[in-house]
Amino acid sequence: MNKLKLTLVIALTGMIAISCSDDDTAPQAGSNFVLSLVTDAANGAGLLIATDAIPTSAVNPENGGFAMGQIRTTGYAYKDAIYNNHNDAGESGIYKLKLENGRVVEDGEIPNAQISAIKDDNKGYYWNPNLSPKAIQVFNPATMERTGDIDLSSVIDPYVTEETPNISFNNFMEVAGGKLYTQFTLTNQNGIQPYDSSFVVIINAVTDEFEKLTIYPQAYLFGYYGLKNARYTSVGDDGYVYISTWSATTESAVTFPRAIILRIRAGETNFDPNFEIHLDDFIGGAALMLGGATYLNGKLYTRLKNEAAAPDFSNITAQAIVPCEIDVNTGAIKIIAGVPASTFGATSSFSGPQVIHGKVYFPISNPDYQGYYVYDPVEGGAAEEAFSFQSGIPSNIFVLEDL
Amino acid sequence: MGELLRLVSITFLSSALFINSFAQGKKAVIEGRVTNTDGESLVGLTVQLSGTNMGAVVGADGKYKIIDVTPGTYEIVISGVGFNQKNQYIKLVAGQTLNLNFQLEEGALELEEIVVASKSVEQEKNEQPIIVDVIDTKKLQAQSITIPQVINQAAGVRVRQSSGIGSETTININGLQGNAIRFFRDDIPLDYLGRAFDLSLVPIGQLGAVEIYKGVLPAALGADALGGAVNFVSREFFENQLDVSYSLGSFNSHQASLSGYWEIPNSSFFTQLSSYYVFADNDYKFRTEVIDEETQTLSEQTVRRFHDGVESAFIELKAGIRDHAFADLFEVSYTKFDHQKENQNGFNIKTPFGQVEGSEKYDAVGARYKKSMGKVAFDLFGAFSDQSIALTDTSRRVYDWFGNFIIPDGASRGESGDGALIDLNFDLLVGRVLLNYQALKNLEISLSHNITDRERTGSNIFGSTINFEGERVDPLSFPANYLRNISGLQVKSTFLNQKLIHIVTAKRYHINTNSLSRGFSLGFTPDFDDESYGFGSSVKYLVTEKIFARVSYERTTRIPESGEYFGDGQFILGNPELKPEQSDNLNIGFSGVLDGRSRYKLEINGFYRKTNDQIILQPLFLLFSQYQNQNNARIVGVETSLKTTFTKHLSGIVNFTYQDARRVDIAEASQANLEQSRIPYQPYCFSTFSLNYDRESLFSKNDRLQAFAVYNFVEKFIFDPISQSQEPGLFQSVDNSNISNLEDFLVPTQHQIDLGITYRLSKAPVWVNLEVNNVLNTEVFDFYRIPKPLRNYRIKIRYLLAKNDD
Repeated sequence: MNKLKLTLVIALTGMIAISCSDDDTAPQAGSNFVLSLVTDAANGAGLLIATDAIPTSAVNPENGGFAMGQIRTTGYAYKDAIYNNHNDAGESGIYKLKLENGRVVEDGEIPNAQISAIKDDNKGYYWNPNLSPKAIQVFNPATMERTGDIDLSSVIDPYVTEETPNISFNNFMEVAGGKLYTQFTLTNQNGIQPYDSSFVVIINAVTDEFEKLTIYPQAYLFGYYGLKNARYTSVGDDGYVYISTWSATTESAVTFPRAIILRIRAGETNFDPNFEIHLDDFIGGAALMLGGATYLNGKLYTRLKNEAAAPDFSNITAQAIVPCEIDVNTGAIKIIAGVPASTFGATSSFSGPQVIHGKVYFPISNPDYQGYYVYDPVEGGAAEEAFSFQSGIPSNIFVLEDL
Repeated sequence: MGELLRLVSITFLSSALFINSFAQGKKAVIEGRVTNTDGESLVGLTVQLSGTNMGAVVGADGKYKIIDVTPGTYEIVISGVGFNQKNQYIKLVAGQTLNLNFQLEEGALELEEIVVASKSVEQEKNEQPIIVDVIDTKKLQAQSITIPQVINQAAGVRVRQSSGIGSETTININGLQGNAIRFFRDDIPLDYLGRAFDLSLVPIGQLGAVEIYKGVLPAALGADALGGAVNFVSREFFENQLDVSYSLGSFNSHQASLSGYWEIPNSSFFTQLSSYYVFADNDYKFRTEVIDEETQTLSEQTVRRFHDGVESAFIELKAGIRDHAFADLFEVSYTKFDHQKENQNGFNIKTPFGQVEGSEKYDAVGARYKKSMGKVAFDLFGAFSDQSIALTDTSRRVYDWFGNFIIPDGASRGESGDGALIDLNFDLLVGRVLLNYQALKNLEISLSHNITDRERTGSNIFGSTINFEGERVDPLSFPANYLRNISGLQVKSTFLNQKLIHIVTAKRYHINTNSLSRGFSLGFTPDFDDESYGFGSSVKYLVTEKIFARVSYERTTRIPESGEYFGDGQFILGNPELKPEQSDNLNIGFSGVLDGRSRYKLEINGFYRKTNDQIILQPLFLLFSQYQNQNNARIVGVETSLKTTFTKHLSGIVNFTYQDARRVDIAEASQANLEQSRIPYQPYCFSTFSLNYDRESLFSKNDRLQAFAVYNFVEKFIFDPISQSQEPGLFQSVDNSNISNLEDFLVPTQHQIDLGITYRLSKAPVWVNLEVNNVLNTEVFDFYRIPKPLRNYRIKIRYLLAKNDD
């Protein structure tokens, strides 16, 4: 491992975490689980497998499940349902799934939605460019009906030029502290973002009114094209929104790795000016972050390439993705021991670490192993194998409340 | 390109002069063609100069040739079982080449009593060691039946079609499809003719036959086909005629075909015209989920396709000489094609497109020279095609299935994804040299060389650009060159008094291609050069005069397409490590009549394919993908065909195909569940049953009535891969699978019946045809369960002005 260097600018003021008894997606009891895994790397097809506990032995996809035409990228769980980002045919949309007698069943669909987030039982948000690229749609997660929209034309129009006519919100979308956080990107007709800045829109999730546009100047893309299971953005158990970027772009639109983690405090409308983690300094070169950062009890968890990425990404497929823990108070970064390194490629998981029942689950993918390792932050030490897949590539563990 | 053009020209001229110089001699030659009353070439008849030992057997192309004949007067006798003998006196002078064609009438024997009949060209080819299904389309010229409908009646073959006329098609032959299958016209790779001979487009009147090669390809077909080939055989004309037809069908579909042939009297010069015009709205109804404008919820409704039209025009003019001392055939051709197609939907059928459309245009010139001289025969071909292909997807509109649209404020261009205004230009040169040498009476050697040289330039002003040497470059604006050379050697030998025929083939494949390709962030310009070899062996053994068995094996190669090497310059990255696909193909077949009166003919073919390094598009991170050598596949199958002659006028054919195509040798542990999984997205069990009625002079003298009924069955098949243990069993319910929503991944079992009737008037050379497709009005699908038309109708009128108006 290269010499460990860290440049972490953290304001200690305000670093006292807002107390939360549980993380949002991990109820302590009465949970059901749905494992998602990719069984065909070529097209991302796979299975949803319902289980009443996190497995302790190897999972065999041949035992059946609910088939999905595309499950490499997934949606999220909210209470007793999954709101996936594709239907079972692999088409974009919000696809609601529930458990019925221990089996996954379909419970509604909103087609063509490209990214979504849920505020409460009766309100959620999504973006559908077929309806309006400049608006956020509002829907009812219970009935899966669109109920209205939030027009953001006046926010976006000042930045739209002839050189940047294309608008997309398909980046990230999170609800926290009564606010909706999302980002729009502007690209030219060739799909190129000509400048390296990001536009984060903050909406009051009670009134559905625009509150603020905040611009971050050193990255153009937060999240990753609506990919929820990568967890490039997440709401921590401190109620803050943690936002990371894995790449940046030059003026001539060459993409290169740049791993930065930012945050917006609960209920606020600006990036925390004193919190900015640059993982390049830890790696000693261009850092490539593959999933996360995920927050739990003052720590951030991510999957990071343990060597600098070549500018042309030529060393991208090496088996060098390792799990990391970052202490948000001290800035210390450590590689979690006991976990085999992962590869990056067609048969690799693109998912980020996730928190379940106070422990952190890391998807592991390499030619010899596909499964999850679990890390207990309270005990520290090495991570241990949680369970593996006899075949298939991990994509997510949906935690559903047993209502 | 220029050098190649010169090379081909020089080869043409020098070969012609060389052959011509040998064609002069003091003795005479008699040659010609033998046909039946339908104008079909006959094979295997004897042509004899009475009272001498000089003669010939009519060959596979229906032609005969007697050389080194001493000048004088002879009686020439044509005879063959099942046909009335024909005699004619001739007088030959020194150096003369006498062209003499014969038309034989069927003998007085009833069909049931024929023991060994002379064969048509199609039948003769069908019985070669190399397994090929030859579908004779000459008898179907008056019908409005489509090429896919015709081909689907063959065993082991399935044409896949996404929607109506002009829609995307692919053909599955013995479990392989897509790029594994190559297309030819008159033995020449179809590249230079673009989409003009697309299966879903070309009217049946343009073709004389369709040859479907299953596995081994003869050396004459110089291509890198992995699993078979389709060769469209042009109609051949031997007398002046004009053939005009017009077909009107459901969904505002119109097809017109005009063909003609004219020989300048008392000369060898001829001109020939082939042309067609196709127009269709393809606006058929189907059931689909429709999005509610307000709530965005889905409900199933019946809607009508509204942007799926096609308009195509094709014309080919030929002029040349035939049966002359200079050449058996020398012709030059000019071809023009203009094709416009609207695109209604992508894979996601919930959101239709309203303005996406593509076009293709080209002008092509070509020349062909054929000459046989004693034991040597040459066939030279060259063509140049100037093609342009365009795709326009620049609309900001969002359509619903009722044809309504909105233009969202700030909408990006492109209904099918990112906007596209693609304009591609291809300069394409193809050439082929084929040499046949009859070394011995039982030994024939063929040599072939095929060359394809393609240069592409173009642009997509709305496409992604590549950072190349510090600048953003439109990858399509960068020239792409593709040079493919394929050489073949074939040796055909016969043993045991022609009971055993053996064909050995060897091929060399060479590719050189270069273009701008894309890495993760930067462009690069690789130059690919690859050389591969293949070989094959086919044996046919005649067990009795009516029963034969045959075995063929081939190791063959498919060279990657340029797009597979270079990617698309956008999100498909180039792959400098890509290798050609290779396949081992084995066929074992039996064919024979089952009864003494030849009423029942059974054909069974078993096949085995092992394809290595299959090229699959693999994801790389989320945004990118790349063609990689990933899969091996194994296919084991059987196809059977039972042909029955109920009466002289009524016949039937039952075909059944089962092909078990599975992924094997999966190295990645993460994909182990797919070991032995069925290759998705293609039918694996299907069958057809057809009845054909054909009777002349039914109501009045010289009228003719033809009728057919075809039942098509396709067993349900999956379109996404699942483990073998989770597959629905053959003819079994999906409830047996532990995939709870398996039904959503199936193209369901399909049954379709088509009917047709054709009547030729007795006093005018006019045919009238009526066809009803999908009589049962059942839901039929293909690809990712894209609905195809329900019951639909076609009517066709054909006028044929010819001496022989069949």
